[in-house]
Amino acid sequence: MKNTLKIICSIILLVHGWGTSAKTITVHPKGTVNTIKKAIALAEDYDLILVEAGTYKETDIHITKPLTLLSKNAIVDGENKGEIFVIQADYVTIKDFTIINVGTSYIKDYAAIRVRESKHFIIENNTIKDLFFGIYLEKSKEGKVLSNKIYGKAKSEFNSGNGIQLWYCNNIEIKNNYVERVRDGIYLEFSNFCTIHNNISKNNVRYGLHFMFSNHDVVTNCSYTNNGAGVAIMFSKSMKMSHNVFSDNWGSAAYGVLLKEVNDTEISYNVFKNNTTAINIEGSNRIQYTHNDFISNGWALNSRGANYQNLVNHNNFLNNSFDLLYQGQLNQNNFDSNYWSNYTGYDLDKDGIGDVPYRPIKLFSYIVNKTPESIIFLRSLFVDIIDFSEKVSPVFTPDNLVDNQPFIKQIQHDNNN
Amino acid sequence: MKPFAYFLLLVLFVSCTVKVQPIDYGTDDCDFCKMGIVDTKHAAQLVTTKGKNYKFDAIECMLHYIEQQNQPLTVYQHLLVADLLNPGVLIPAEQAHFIISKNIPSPMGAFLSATKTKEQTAKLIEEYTGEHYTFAALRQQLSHH
Repeated sequence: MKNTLKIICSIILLVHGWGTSAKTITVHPKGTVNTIKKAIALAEDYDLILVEAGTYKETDIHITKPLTLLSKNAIVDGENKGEIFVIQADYVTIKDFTIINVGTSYIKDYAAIRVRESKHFIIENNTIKDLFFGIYLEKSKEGKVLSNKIYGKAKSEFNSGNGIQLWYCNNIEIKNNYVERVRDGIYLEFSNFCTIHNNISKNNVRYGLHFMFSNHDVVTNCSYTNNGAGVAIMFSKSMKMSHNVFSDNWGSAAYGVLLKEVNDTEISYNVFKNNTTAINIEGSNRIQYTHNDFISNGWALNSRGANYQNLVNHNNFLNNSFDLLYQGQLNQNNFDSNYWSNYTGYDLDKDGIGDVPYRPIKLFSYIVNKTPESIIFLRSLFVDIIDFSEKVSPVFTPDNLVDNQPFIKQIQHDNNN
Repeated sequence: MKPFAYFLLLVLFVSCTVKVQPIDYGTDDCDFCKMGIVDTKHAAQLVTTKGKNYKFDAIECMLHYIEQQNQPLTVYQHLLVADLLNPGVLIPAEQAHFIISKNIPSPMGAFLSATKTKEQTAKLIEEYTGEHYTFAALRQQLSHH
């Protein structure tokens, strides 16, 4: 243990020492060094490669030693031939580049920037256009992906890759990125302990952010607009999502958040606005939904069954067509202490909590679920009558699915946590 | 009167044929895992003898679906899987050759793809490593997990 510490210390000293004495190689379209590849070949470990303004038509730029590549308005044009940057060494930085025309391949997923089995890399402030995959990290850890802009071309085209993809990665920070019009904005597969902050992901063909078989990841302050689903979490556990905005994910199979086989997760302080379904839940256990605002969604929560021991507390449900669609038994799920704008009870003892329990399920939501076309009767008197009679004496809806302490006033979330 | 009778017969006949509905990539959802179907290299489809279509985003989803239904394969008129080498083209599953390779990811994490011929699979294995499976062997392999 002491030895490894010594080695680490000496490596850090070495890095810093070399950092000061490292030389700078300038790449210029008309200079002696006129390609990035040539500069990399000439460079020694920890050198700085400064790429001057101009267009460089290069593909398969393999970076096999620790280097910093800095662009001054340089454009790298792949001419649709293949991958552009491939990082295969630790301590590599790629900053301020514009990368265009990444090739499309059916089996090899060509990426603008690929990181392969590396650590401590920084990919910062790059602009990527006309891509297949944008930034593809595989079997890498302790790296940062910061402030990149990725503009995909996927419209109805499905042959598009993902904006930022992680495959078997750990401890990656993804911050301040903008991704639009790709398949999945950000996709994490088998990737743990990653943090995803302040990203904007919109107009993507499938998902804004997608987790598969990933655990212990944190998502904060992101916004997801007009995707197939804002965030999809599948077969994952111990995730945290807070202070995000999910809006306008609208369409027959569009969701703010899609949960499938997810365990031990916190979803709190988020805003869900104008989604067809705010959260679609299937086979997910021990999840805390707290301090969220559900505003003007078709369905706020759609619980499709096999969900156990979930807590839905201290949320605001404001003007959703249906607050809750529920299948199956109560399964120790708890819906207490929320504010429901559809609540019509009273508070005679003035303690801020309604005196009559609230039943969030409308009978009509079951009918719509079975026969979607019946939605046209949503605002009809007949539906109001059957919903009212069901509310007075529940026959079909789960008898014990109630909020025992509904708030009378909208909950002011303490957003400082 | 006669043309009308023919017409009626035609309508009846057409409406009863078992049809493969093309997958609408980017719009359709997987009937097993609910994920949006976007990958033209790994999609799959089942059509029952009654003409009902089930679409999947991955071959593994189709196999799990078949297992879950627990019905003989004869209830399916068509079992189709995407051809890895011709994205967007579906081929009959029972004649296809399958490859599980850690270097060719598939949507649901089974690393499973299909090709038309054994030679194509062999060539892929040479390049990407992996194992070759027939449809029957594959079903057995996946049911162990």
